[in-house]
Amino acid sequence: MMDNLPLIAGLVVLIATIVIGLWSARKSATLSDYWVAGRSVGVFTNASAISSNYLSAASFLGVAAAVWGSGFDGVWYATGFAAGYILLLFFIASPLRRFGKYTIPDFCEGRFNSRRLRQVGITCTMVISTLYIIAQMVGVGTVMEAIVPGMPFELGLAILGTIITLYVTFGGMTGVTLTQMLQFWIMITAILLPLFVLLPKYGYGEILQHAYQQTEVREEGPTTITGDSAFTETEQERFPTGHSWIAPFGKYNLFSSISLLVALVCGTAGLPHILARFYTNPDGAKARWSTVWVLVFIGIFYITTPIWGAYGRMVLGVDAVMYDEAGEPGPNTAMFLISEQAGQWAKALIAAGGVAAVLSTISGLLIALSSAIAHDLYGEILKPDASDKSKIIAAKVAVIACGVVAILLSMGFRKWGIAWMVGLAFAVAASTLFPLLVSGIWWSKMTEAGAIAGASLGGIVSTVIVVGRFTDLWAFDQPALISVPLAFIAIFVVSKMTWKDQSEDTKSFLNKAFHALHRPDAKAPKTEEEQAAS
Amino acid sequence: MTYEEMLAKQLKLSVFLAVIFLVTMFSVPLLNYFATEAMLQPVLGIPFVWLFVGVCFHVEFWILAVIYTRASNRWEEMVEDDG
Repeated sequence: MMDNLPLIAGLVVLIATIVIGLWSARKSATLSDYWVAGRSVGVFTNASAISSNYLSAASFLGVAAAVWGSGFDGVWYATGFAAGYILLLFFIASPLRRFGKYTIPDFCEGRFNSRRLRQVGITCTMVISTLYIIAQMVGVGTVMEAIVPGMPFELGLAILGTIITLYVTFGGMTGVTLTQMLQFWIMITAILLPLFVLLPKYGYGEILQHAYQQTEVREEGPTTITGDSAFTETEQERFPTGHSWIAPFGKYNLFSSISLLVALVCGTAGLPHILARFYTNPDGAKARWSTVWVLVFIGIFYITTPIWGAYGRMVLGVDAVMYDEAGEPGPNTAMFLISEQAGQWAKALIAAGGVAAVLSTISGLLIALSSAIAHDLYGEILKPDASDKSKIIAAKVAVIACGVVAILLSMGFRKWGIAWMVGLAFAVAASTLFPLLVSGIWWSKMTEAGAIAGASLGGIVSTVIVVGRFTDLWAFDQPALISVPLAFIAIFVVSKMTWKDQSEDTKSFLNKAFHALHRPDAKAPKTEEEQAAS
Repeated sequence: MTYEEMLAKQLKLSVFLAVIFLVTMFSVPLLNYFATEAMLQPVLGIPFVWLFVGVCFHVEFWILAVIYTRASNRWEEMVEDDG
């Protein structure tokens, strides 16, 4: 019975999610319900849902593993992931909500009156979300492997992936909001409770001291769970031990550390599945408070993850981590191994949290991907005169199609490792949508040509650098410090060059759209739903 | 307060707080590089850089976020004309 606790806990989360997802299908009657939960989500609920949407398997299981394997350099992930919400709050959240649209491609077209920019927005959303969802789907398979004894990766992925796809199909954003709120509180409980049992014996400083010493006595190097050597000699250099574990630059040099931070901070503020959630708040002021509470919620979460990683290193040493094919500490095993120290109940909590993490992020990504296809491509470009009923059917078909394709791609991509895909998703988001949104929201004289130039250059440079690293053309793998400034420069230079060629009508439109982003809620133009209601 | 004044004040505050955020955030890798041992000195038994990056940064984010949100929302309520 006790051995099955993790499986039971995962099943409870899954069943609760399915019930809520299907129950909320009754509330997804209109397009607004389906894509933005009727714009009626309160601060607390949306903050919980955004946090849950963001805390993927990579965060829930992977950040502690990164600290375990890389020491201080892994702590940057815990802080950088949260830091992005500061820029999102200062420059994006409230104006984006106030614009009153459904998707990021909607913003692109609405801000610049440009069908071509909608296509750029669709492309960015598809590329970023596809890379991200493949990594998350691989996480689904590995979590299932960890909590269901003997479960093959592909079968676990197919079962759980299908379940997520189905409840998103019927519940839409309304269902996803409610399930994500539940999933967040499961995750935060799962990460905090075991620490109250594990920590009283030691302080944080003592844990770090022991962890640091522990790594010094290991000379044989890390092994896989089967006892084989995990790395070649060259690969071992990537994983610091002793002083280089506790000190900075054990894994990343100065340039790469700063570039990684830029990618995490700017990339977070450019992720379509996160940005879409701000449309669900009733107004811009509540979008701001939602972001503040997200910072508190995920801050509490990320403060604990380095403690988990250091504790694992202290108690179990380097050798206990199972490393994946890419030579990274296996995120599917690290948290489970640590939680076992407190007992099966703690491992069950981590299993519940792990299932919640993959469910929440994938559901948000499915909404982002399917909205780009069903709303932006079908509803706005291919068939703008379709009825709302047809658009909702298209939405449901798109969710199913995206779910199936993501499951199939994940089965093929697993052997390539997922870390580089998540890195590329963040780099592309940081280099395309982030500069486009910040400049578009705060610079009234930004032009369509400037937006296209910036997003294209940022996307191409970041992709070339990451793919070049993946194919061993060069060793540098953190492009953001180069690609993000380049994107901003391209936007500025091309907008300056093309502004004088804009007609008076175009200038007037751009100016009007700019002020629609900032006018206080009570004085802002009505959204499409408000106009329809009145 | 006019709409234009509100917009200018919001942008000024956003940029001011963002500069504080960026300077503190990106100065840490530089300090790590040029003053490594000083950054590893224990504070409350924890290496300073672990405490600063792993805990204090989050508290800084919360403070900056509350300052910005309270001020921005208050200014928007004070806008009198329609711009």
